[in-house]
Amino acid sequence: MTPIRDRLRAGLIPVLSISSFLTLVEMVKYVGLLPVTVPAPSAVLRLLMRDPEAVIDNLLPTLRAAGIGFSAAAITAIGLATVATLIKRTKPLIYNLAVLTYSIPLLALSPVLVVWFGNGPAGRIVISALAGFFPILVGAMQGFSAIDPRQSELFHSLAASPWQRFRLLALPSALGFIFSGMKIAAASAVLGAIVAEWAGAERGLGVMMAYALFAFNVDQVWLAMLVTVVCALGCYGLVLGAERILMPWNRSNALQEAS
Amino acid sequence: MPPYLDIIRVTKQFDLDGSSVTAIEDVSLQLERGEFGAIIGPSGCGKSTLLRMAADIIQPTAGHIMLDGRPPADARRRHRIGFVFQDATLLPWRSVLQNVELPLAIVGRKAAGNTSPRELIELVGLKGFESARPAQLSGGMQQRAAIARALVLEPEILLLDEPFGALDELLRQRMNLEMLRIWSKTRTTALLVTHSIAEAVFMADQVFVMSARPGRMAAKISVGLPRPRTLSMMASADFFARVNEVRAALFQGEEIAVPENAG
Repeated sequence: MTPIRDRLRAGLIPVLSISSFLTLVEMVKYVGLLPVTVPAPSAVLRLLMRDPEAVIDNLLPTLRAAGIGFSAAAITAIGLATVATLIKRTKPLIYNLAVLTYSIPLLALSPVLVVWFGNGPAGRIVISALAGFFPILVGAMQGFSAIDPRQSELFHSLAASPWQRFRLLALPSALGFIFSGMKIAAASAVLGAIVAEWAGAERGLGVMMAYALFAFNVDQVWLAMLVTVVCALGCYGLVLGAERILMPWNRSNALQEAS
Repeated sequence: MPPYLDIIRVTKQFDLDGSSVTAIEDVSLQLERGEFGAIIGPSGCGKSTLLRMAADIIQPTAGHIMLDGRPPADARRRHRIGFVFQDATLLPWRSVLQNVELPLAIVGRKAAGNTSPRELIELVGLKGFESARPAQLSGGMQQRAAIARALVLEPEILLLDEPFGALDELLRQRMNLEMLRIWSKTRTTALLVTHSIAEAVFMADQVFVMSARPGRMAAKISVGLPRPRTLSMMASADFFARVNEVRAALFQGEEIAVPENAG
């Protein structure tokens, strides 16, 4: 079988299973076997079709905050992991600080940040970054120290400087670990932005979700959830795509992981 | 004039769960400039350990090693040592050409010898595979790339740690011929660790036979076959005489009989 047909078939299975599941829910809802808290999929779809601009209006600020937060988290985490690798003494300090940030309840921190930074995007970017920071840092730290001992001896025999060893050996070796962390962080950053929006924002998926909850607009709640899921999956997919482009030597592994 | 490689009464002990294990005891080895040496011995005799000490990868517990009258650390920092590992140890994210160029990326372009990375790739028979990734190459081709990488800085000494150990007999024979051809062109001093008697005799001017537990130097045998070596030499009486000599030194006094109709 050709690879293209293989791929089509691999893509067809989730599409078929999801659409048949939705059809089943639709039918069960139609005969009245589902509670009011579960809407008919067609009702959610109709809501999306009626006012797609409202969804996009709320989607863009969330994506923007998540995107900036994620980038800031990636730069800070990889930078700090680099420092921890090159200057061994700083490693426990950096790691403990990272665990501390991971333990902060973001839901409680969000209103505090609104008080500090106002109602602008800054607070939401910070929460997004905090949500994505830890998995990238752990991935980078683990990756930088997971060097093949033979390759390490090779660099020793070539009398490489610590910086050359880092740039030419540790960094490329760690890319797989870093991308694993970034895949988790991509989805976390979106969810972080939404949590932050609950504490106060004018627009955003979190705002849309909160309004729908208070108004007990079930269709709207599910629509917001659906958009959030698609959005988080999309961000995950972007990182996956970047991984395949930047690590072509690892392509076979990436495909195995994805299938 | 002192020999190029001078290993003087070297002992190496490893710490194993608190108790010290002697891997190598009082081993000496001399190799003249431009000579091809082979170290052979049973597994656990410390032949790889000895090679790694000469390469300044690990340090001896006692004794001295000199390369051209200086300690190995000095030779390593001046990039005089080319080391070829048991497995090719190529970087998977670099192409064949980029792997061969790695030492230049570390030392700087100015350190390049007279033979360019592309010429070296041609020399080891990998022309056309410059942009291939290591994962796309067979084991033998990967090892050729590793040899090209070891030669790119024109080292004074080539240390080969069972480089063809993982290859099948046929390919191994071919790689040995390649290795000798490359060696005769570059005229470096070479020291090969192997567990094949025929390989040691075929390749080397001097065969150093070691015994195990602890690793000691059991014998030194001068091969004395003319160069260039050819495959037909392996059928000569001289070749067999040397092989038998090495075998006798390896099994020293043991008479191992295979029971007839056993079981």
